[in-house]
Amino acid sequence: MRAWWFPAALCVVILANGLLAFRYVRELGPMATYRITARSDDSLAAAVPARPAAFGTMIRQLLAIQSSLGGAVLMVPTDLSLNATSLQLFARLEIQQERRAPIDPGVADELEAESDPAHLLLAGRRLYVARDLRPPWTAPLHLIEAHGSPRLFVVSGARLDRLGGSVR
Amino acid sequence: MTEAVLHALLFGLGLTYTLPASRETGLPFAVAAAYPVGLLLWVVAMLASLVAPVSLFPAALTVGLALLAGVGLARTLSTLRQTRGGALGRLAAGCAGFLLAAILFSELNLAVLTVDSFTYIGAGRSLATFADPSALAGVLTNVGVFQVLVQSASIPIGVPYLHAASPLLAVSGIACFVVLGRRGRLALGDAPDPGRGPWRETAIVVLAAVAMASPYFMVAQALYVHTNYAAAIYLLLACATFWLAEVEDRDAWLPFAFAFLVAFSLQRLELPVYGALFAAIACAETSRQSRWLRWGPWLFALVIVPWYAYLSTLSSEETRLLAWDRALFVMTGVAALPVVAHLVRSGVARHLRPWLAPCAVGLPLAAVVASVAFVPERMEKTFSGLVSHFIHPAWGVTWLAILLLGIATLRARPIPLGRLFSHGGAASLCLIALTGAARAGGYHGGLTDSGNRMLTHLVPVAFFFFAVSLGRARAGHEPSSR
Repeated sequence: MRAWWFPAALCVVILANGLLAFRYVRELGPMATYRITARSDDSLAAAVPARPAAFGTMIRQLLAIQSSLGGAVLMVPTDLSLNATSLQLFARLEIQQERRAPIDPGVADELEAESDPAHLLLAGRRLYVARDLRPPWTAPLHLIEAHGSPRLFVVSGARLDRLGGSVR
Repeated sequence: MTEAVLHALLFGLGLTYTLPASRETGLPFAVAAAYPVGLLLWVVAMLASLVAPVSLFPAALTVGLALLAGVGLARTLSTLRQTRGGALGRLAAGCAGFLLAAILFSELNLAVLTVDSFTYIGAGRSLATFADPSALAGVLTNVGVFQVLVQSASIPIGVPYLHAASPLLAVSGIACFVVLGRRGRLALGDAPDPGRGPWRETAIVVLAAVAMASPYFMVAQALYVHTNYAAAIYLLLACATFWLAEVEDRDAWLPFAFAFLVAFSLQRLELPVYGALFAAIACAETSRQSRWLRWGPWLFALVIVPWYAYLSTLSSEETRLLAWDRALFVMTGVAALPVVAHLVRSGVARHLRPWLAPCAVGLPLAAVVASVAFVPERMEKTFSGLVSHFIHPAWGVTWLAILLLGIATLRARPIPLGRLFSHGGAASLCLIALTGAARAGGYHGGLTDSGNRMLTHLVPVAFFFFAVSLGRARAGHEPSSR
């Protein structure tokens, strides 16, 4: 004699998970909100790693993606202060990127309300430095969800800070 | 397409190690596990070559891969010579299936990326370019090395990052779930009636695999460039192969079990402790006498301890997670595994053997209770974070199902080595709570929170346990008490 309740229970679990997943994605949006579009691939490939800092590579890659997406806002949640070298580096990279799209003022307002950011003027564009955003890390991600924009990319300011003097 | 070729090569590399064992472990396992094994071999080759002087890096990697492939190929060729036509046809069909999946996932970029993903991608690319781990001290002491080294393969083939690695590992893992679960149910004595195929056992295991993979968060993580789905798959493979060695009375599964345990432990910095606990439970609970059970824990420690000793030298002010004291804790835990395994199996502590699994749960549980007493605020945040994880809509009804099916296993006929799943899972839950207590802010309860992602590790193991424990014939073969 075999128990049939177990396969039946598994079918119920599958059905319920499927329905709840459908509802979750419809109400809150898929995790793929954070997906990088295929267009960014070429830019990533073009980003050559710079010795010795992998963080530099990462920043360059992110900036390259930004560029390919038509000038997105780069938001830097940081728990450390940015030093002068980091900012100079950042400014230099920003200049190289030829920004086009304007910054969404809604995002800026919400950022200010959320995290008391310091606004820095770099190469004619504002860089949003949201301090003490961690924890929770999800705050900037919620902003992305709220604005439905895949154009925001988040970099840990702690990582950016370590760029100081180490990227050529 | 370039990425598909890389994955096909890794699959082929893995196949040269799974195929020679297929006379005992079966052809379906050889094909299903080839990609996870191939990825692990790549990671091991990269890790070994990074230890060599920087100037030797590309040559050391090439020689390492050539040696690995050469050894595997020599054994595979002799296996293939003895393989009959029908089996060759099934092997070719399995390879073609993987190739199709590799092309599909390489052409369709379904990758989900967050900030963490960029850490793995950037660090991996930097390592493959400059072969200088010391320049990445801030990364390697904060994240596990496995995914970093997987992503390092993007440099030799000239693609930005590997977006198909995660889904291919997920597909291989689900295939392994079905193959190993079906073998397990049949080995437990649920053989089909004469003249009828084992369709029912297959159907139950397939249903369990689909139920395991069906929550939204599991689907998203199968596409996510991150560590947790991979950790879950490797933990499942390690536990399932340990368990099959017991129920099938076959040593051939054990080298795979320890290899998968190493792969699991390299995914995240804290996972060697989890891996050591699972291995300790397996070694204490099994009734087998095998040289692999004697030497496996030593091999596990020989990979993990030197790597953590090296990581402890990289510890600096940039280190958030693996400061030297924590590295020392992990090394001590892992180094204790072979000693404890030896003592409880054949040494002076033989009489303590039945108590090891309860202790594996009891000690972390006591640490959780102590944490509640000493850092109540952190534990309050951790518990509230964990509760919100369990009821997060992205998990669907998964955790409710695990709770109810877990209760049902208490009434079911016990399976051999069942404590590996039940006690290993319970110990992991306690360790996840302790990991939260070690973080200044505890768990915050968000979808991509570390605690929520770590719960993923337990889902395939739990559903595999249910798949082989529940819905079995009420009469028939009775397993041994262990």
